[in-house]
Amino acid sequence: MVKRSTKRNYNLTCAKEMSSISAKHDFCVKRMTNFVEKIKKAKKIYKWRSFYRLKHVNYQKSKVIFKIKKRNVVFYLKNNLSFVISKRRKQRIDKRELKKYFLLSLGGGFIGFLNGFFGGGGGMVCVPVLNKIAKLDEKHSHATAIAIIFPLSLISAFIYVINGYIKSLPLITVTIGSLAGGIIGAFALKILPPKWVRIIFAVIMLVGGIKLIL
Amino acid sequence: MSLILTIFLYILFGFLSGILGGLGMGGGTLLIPLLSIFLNVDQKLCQGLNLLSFLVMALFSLIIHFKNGYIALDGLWPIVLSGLIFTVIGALLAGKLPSEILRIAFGIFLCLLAILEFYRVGKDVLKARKAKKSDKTK
Repeated sequence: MVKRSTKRNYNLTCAKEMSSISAKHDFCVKRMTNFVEKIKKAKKIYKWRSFYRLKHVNYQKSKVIFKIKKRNVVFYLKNNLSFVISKRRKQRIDKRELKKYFLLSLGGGFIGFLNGFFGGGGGMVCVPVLNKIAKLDEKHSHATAIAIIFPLSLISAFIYVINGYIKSLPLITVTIGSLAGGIIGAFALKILPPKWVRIIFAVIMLVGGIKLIL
Repeated sequence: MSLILTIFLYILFGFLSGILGGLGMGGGTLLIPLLSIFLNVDQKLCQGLNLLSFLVMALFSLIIHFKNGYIALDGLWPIVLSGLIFTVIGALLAGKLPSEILRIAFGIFLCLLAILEFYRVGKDVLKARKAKKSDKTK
């Protein structure tokens, strides 16, 4: 951003030349365009952190709206060509929330059905749903996915047990094995490179799937 | 096949799928093919085992995640609600169908998931390469 002193000199000289309002407005617009271009190039702005996003530029009213942490912060370009006022705008809630809930329930239905029908593919669908619709970051989405799948698995396991599909010997052995594996997997998570693990996992899934079909 | 070998294979397969589950990639999707192909276990039994072993693991990892504060359940009640309903529907439906159909359906599901995973990994790799390139030119 330009330093204050140069701006002031600049303003004084310009104020003398610009008599009409339209000329001032055009000059304001030009200054604002330059400012906006600078923001688009550089993620960091003086005292502002990088998660501030440029939302809308209104050239008629010399107004720029930034989206800062879900609020709309409005900046007006005053006559002295510096951004002075910041004002909060009211948050529009209803429509977006409804759409989000609808999408979430659709996703939840899909996850639940997979969990009940296949006995456990729900987690693989839950993480992308949480990432994109609920907009959580990686760690939060993985942890919340486990938290969501847990009651669903509980209920479907209950139904499976009631229908008498479970035998005790495989149950005990596989559970012990998976506990041990889970502990080691949690340690391995910090060490292994995720890309290759995912590729190997996808290959195993593909081979397993094909073998199951045939 | 001797009993000891069977027990050992059960534990081994549980161990392998547990590792994948610990990595956050759904260990069950490995457990069911392994058990089904090598030990000829019935599909419904496999799925039940998958669910129950996941429950035990999830309990422990939930405690850890909760302590670290990674669980964000605000405003996610629609997922749980519709999930519960459809879980019941799915489980009852799976009970009615014969195991062979479930096996084939699961195989198809695995293939679809694998293709999806390949696509996602490819997208991430392309993104990483693009970011690297733009960093270099800068």
